[in-house]
Amino acid sequence: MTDNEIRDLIAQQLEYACLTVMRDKQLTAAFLEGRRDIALGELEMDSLAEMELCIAIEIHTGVSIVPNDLQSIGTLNSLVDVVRKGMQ
Amino acid sequence: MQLSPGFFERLSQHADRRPQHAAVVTASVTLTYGDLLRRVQAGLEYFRRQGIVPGTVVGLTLDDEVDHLVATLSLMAAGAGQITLATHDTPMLRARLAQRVHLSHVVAASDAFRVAGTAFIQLPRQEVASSTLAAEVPAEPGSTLFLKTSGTTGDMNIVAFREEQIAAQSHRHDDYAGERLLRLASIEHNNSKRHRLYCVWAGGTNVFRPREATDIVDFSLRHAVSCLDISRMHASDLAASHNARELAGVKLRTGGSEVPFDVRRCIQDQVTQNLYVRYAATECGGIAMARPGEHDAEATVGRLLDEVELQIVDADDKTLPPGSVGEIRLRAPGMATEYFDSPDESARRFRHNWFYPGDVGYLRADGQLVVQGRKDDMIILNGLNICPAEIERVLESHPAVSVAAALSLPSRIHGQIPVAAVELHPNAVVTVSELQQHARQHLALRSPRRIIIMARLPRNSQGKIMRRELRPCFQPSKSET
Repeated sequence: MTDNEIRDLIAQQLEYACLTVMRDKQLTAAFLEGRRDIALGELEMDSLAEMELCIAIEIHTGVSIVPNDLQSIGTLNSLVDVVRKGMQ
Repeated sequence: MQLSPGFFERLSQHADRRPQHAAVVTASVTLTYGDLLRRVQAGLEYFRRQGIVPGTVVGLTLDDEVDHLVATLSLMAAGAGQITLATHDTPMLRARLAQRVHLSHVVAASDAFRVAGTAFIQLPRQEVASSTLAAEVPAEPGSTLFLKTSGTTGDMNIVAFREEQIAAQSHRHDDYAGERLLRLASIEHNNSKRHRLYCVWAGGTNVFRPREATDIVDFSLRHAVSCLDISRMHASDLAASHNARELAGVKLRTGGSEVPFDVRRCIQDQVTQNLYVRYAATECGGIAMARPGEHDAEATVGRLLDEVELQIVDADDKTLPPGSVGEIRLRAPGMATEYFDSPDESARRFRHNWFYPGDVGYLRADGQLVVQGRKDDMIILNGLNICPAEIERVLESHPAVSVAAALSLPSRIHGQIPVAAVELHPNAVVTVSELQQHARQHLALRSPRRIIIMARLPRNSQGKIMRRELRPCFQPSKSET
């Protein structure tokens, strides 16, 4: 899976979770193109959204992330790095 | 308790009362009950000459269904035990089964089916068919029928039924008396073998289809089949065939796996209103049957058959009221009380005089049973219980989906993650994300987190979907459609 595909996966999942930030199409597009990073705290994810994001990542990439660890990862770009490294 | 007569005695009664009534019908031959009795007597004599005595355990490797039925009844009359070593099984599996039941002889049409360490008996069809001598049979039925059933712990379980247990199960199928029964699954499959015996017990007519006869409709009409028993897969295929409506007068029976309401509706619209969906287990025979007029959106398997006692219980074995989902346990005449040579599995499934088939479901206030799936298949996602059947029902309600199979993927963090594979109707077009949206809409948190579309789901020889074989398809490296 390429970085772009990982970004797509994350964006789709966040969109499904109806997160307000992801309704900003320009912001989402910038993240997908790697031009903009987004702090996970900025997303205001509830525990359900965190769980669903971790499930989606695990099932499509095989990389397990504990939902409680998400905030310590910091940003979506860092999350992409974690997933990429986990897949290697 | 008074013992039922054996099958030989029952066969003799039918031959005495209705000697000209058709017992067996094939594309080319009709055997009356008189003919069948003579063949079974001849088989009995032949097997005795080969050294078969009461207590001997014999393996049957006969794909000719009439030969198989005659040999089965002859061995019962001889008081011998028997197990099917099917021609479609691997030599390794046949050898393993032979070893487990301490087989002494194998009866087959060809010596290609010899099993090391056992005596081989080639079935001489002409000799069996021509003998007409009357033979003495044991005063009390004492034969054993070994039936294999898929285990949940890797190896298959074997149930050893005494002849009178099969007879007791047969009483739940007395309606076969007036039927001409065609089953598409070969008699080499245990479920088919048992129903063929139930039909003999009832005095009905067993119709056998030659393997090369591909048009079920034409064959059924030609041989006046009144009851057609087929797998869910074959029933769906039948509904799609151009001449299916010509079977409008036939009773169509299916089961073995969950039959969703839309599939039932399709069969009733395209083939016959006389649709019966059964719930059964190898360990006890028939349990419940949904009859015409009883099919609804909950995909009920109908009311319990005569003399079947069934309860829904919680994890502490406490009985639950109607409508509550729990584990099914039951007892019925002719039920097994243990597995042969599997004490651990016996202790798990047979407890306090009940059999626990490992299914979950609920009894409705109107007495109808709804089976939701295997307890072992229950998906537990972060503590949330999800029945694969509910996922499958929702996916199959999408107009593009023909069949769905839901399963779980193990997760260190979440326990189990539900996923699903689907097969589409011919020429149907749909994307994975459309299916995911449909599932989320109806199932929310219970929806499968990944869906794949496959040209054909893996099935066993009886058409049952093999979920375990689907798991590798969900490896993260696999790309989605």
